[in-house]
Amino acid sequence: MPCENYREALIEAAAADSAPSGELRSHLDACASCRAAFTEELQLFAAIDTGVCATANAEVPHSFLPHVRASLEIVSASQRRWTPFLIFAAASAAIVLTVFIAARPRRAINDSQSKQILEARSGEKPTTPDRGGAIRSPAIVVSDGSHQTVQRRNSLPINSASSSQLEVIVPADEREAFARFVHAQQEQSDVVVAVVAAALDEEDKPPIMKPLLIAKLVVRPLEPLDGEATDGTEEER
Amino acid sequence: MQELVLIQPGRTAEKEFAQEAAAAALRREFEERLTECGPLAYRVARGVLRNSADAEDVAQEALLRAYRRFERLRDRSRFRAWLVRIAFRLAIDRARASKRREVRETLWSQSAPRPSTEDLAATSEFQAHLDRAMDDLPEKRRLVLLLAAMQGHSLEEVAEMLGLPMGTVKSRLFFARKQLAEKLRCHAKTIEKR
Repeated sequence: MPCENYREALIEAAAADSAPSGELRSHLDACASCRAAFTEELQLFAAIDTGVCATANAEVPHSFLPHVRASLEIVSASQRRWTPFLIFAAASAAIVLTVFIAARPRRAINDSQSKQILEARSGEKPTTPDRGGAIRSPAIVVSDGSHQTVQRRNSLPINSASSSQLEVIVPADEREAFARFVHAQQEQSDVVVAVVAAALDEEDKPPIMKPLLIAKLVVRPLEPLDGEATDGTEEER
Repeated sequence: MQELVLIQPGRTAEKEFAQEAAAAALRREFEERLTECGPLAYRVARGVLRNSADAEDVAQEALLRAYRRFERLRDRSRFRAWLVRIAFRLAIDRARASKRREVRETLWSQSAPRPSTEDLAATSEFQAHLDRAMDDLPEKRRLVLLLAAMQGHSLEEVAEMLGLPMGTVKSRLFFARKQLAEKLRCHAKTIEKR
């Protein structure tokens, strides 16, 4: 049994794998039980080191490196095969996304902005009764041209919503400016703003095909002339 | 006869050839390191798992992972340390997973798998206790202990490999051995008495 005062120092000296020095050295020289305990500790640490070394230095199987090389070959082959497809797919997705982001919101914003401006202003103006007696606002809806028609306020209604609004075909890039122009005109006076499309050039007009007029034909037998025989003597003349 | 080469649109054939050459060079460089460091990865995994088949699996996975990321490794001289960390991490994860599985299976069957006669013969009683004690070591101490015990690794090399100061390596090694000794002292005495 080692002396209690030196027990911890013995263990630490053995764990540090260093020779005891100073006071511990002199005590070990004097105390046989501590010397025996120190020897036991050294044996224990030696056994631990041997066990750890056996674990840490296990023999590598001969098949290990060839297996790894074969796996590497498979991995690099699959990388080569998939890389172009992945790049192509990523590029396609990026293009589609860019187009979607660039195109979609602008159109929605333009439509909503122009409609907001016009419809907000139309609420401020006095309403005018139309022929049918219904109260309608003098709103003008700026169309993107998809309808290809100009609906006048009092024209035959296609549906209830569009029948009360005037639609004007305006190029997409001039829609906002046109909306401002209409708004300015409506603020200055109550004169109805009429915007008409420019007349088509002569050469742009479609050719008008007039129907062929043929006078009514009257078919009647010829009257025989005087002295003319009816038995073919006319040929002689 | 005219030779036709099919290339992808927007890329020249030269670029493709250059990329292939670069990939081949990278592969050669990795294979050189594989010969040098592959056994180290295996031993680290084996030291944690103490099972050849599992260790081989884990080391292979570590090497493949390293290969996939090898291009992104800036300092190639750190490859050894990098690989050791990957292998150690994967081995620890595998050991934990198998421990959980073992607990689950034990709960189901109410009987732990009994070691075979060969296992008993191959592993001495002390070694079995040592293995269990090593499992309980903190990961940092365990890695230092394993690397320091590997043949051909001085403490300076371990410190360099792990990017640690020499004093830290010595301290971790000291406490690891001390902790093992505390757990094994009673078993050593019991074995000695027999």
